[in-house]
Amino acid sequence: MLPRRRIEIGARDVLLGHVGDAPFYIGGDQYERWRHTRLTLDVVRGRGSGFSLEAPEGVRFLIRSDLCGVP
Amino acid sequence: MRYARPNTPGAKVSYESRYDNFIGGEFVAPVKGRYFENPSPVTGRTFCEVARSSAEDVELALNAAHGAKDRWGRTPAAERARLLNKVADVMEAHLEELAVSETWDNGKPVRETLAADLPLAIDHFRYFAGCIRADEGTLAELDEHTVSYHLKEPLGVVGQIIPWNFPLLMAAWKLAPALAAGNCVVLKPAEQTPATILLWAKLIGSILPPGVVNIVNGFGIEAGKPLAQSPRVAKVAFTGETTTGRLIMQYASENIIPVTLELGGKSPNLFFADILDHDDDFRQKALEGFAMFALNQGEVCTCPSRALVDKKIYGTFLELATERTRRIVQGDPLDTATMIGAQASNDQLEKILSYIDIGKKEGARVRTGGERVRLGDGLEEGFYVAPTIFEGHNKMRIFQEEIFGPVVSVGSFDGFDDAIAQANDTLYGLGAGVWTRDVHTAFKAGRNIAAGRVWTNCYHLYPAHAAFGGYKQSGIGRETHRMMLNHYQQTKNLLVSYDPKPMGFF
Repeated sequence: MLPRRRIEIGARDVLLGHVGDAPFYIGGDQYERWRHTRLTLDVVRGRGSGFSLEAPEGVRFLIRSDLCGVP
Repeated sequence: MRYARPNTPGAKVSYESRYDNFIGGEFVAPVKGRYFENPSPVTGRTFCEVARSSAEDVELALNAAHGAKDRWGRTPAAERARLLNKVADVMEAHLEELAVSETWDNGKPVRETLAADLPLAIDHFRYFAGCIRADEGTLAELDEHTVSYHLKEPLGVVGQIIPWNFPLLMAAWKLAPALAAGNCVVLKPAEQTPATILLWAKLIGSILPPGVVNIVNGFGIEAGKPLAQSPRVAKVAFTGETTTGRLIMQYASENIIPVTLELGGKSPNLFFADILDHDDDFRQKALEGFAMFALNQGEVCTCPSRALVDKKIYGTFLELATERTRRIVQGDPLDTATMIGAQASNDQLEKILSYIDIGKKEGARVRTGGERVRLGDGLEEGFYVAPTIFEGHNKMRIFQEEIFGPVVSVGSFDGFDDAIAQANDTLYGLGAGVWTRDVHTAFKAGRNIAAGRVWTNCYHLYPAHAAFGGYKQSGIGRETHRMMLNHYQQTKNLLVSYDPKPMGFF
C-alpha cells in the first residue's frame, strides 16, 4: 500500500475497486493469475514490509484469498 | 552442539540494547530520536532497538559519503584491495560471532550461517579485491595519430537497499563490488534484520576511511524511499520484492540514474526420468536437490519452489522425495544439527500460512507438512513452518507466486517440450534446476529455460565468479561476478590526438 499518487499507474494495471477513497490497483500480470480468487484486504497486528506505508504503524495489510471460479 | 543464546553466559554474541546509524565512521543517533524494536524469529522476542531513521538521517549519511568520495575514488586499486582483504580477514576472525548473530536476527540455522553465509560473504570481499587489481580499461588506435582511451571511473555515491533473507551476505554482494570500484555507499539494511551488519560496522569501522560505508536503518517508506529518490545518489542497487523494484525504477527515473535489481522468482527444478536409472550417489544427490526448497526456510529468491517431475518416474520419485523431506531436522536454529530454522518474521510466517491455505482451497494436495510448528524450550512463539510438499498443476497460485517459505509445489511433465513449456510458464526468470544423467538433455534444457542461472545437476551454489541475476521480471544486472564492477563504474573516453598539425577544417 502506497500513499496516493506515489506510484505511476501503468497501462496494464487493473483497478479492482476502492477502499474508502483510495483506489486499489493490481498489476496486470498478477491480475491474470489472481482473477479466479476473491481477495479480502485485512489489517492485522504486525509490521508491513517493503515501501508499504503502514510499516511503522504496528499493523500491516494482509490479503486473504478465496476461490470464486475455476482457474 | 548448541550455541548459547546471545546475551547469556558463554554466548558468542552480546548485543547492546540500542543501535544507532553508522555515519562517517561513527555511530550517530537518529535525528528524530526514534527507534524500532528488533525481535528474534528464534523466540519471537525483542532483543534490541534500532534507529528508525528519516530523510534527515539519509542526508547526513549522504553528506558523509560525498565528503569521502573524491579521496576514495582516487585511492589506488591496490590500496582499496588491501583494505577489502583486511575487512575479509576481520570477518574471518569473527566468523562464529557473526554467524550466531545472523542466526539470531534472521532465524536461519547456524549450520548454514557457519558453512555458507559467512564464508561466502568473506570470500566476496576477497574476490572483488582480486578483480579490481586485474581490472583495466581499453584503448584503440583509431589512426596513427589518434588514440581512444577508455578509463573506468567510479560512479561516486551509490545507494544500496538490502533484503532480510541473507542480511550480511547480500550486503557483501553489493558492498564489495561498489567499494572495489571506488564508490562510497549509503546502505539501508532490511528493518527485519538490521543487527549483524551493525556488529560488522563496529568490527570494520576503523579499516575503511570514514564516510566510505554508511548504514542508515529504518523502514522502507521512511528511510529507503528518501535514499532511492535522492538526487545525490548516482545509482541504486536493490534486492527484494518485485513491486518495490518497480518503485525503485520509478524513483530512479526522476533522477535519470541506473538501477540494478534482484527481484522475485519461482524457480523450476526439473527431474528427468533417467535420474532413477541407478540406485547410486547421483540419485541421492538429485533427491537432495529436491529438498533444497527448504534451504534457508525457503526464503531464497531462487528457492526451487516448483518441482517438475517426469511422469515416467513421478510416483516413485515423489515417494522418495517425500521421505527425504520428512527427514529434515527442524529445531533450535542455534543447534548445529538443525537443518531448518525459523521464518524471518511473523509477517512472513502469516504470508506462508495464507499461501498454504489458498493452495488447499485450489485443490492442491498436501503430501507432507502444511502447518505451523510449535517448538518447545522457549521457542513456542518462534516462527516455524514444517517443510511442505504440495501436489498440483502449474496454473495454481502456489505454482505461480513467490511464497518465500519452505513450500514446494510438485507437478509432472510429459516429454522434454512439455517440461520446458511448464518451466517457462512464469513471470520470473531467476534460477532453475535441471537433473539428468544425459548430457544432451542437460545442455538443451539449460539453454531453453529462460532464467539467468540454470543449476545443472546441482542447486543453491552461490560461488563468486559465477554471474547471478534475473531474466524477465526477476531483475536487471548480474552480481557475484567481476562484470558487476561495470554496474558501479562509468566509462571515461579520452579521445587524444598526437598529431601536431591542424585539421585544416576552419
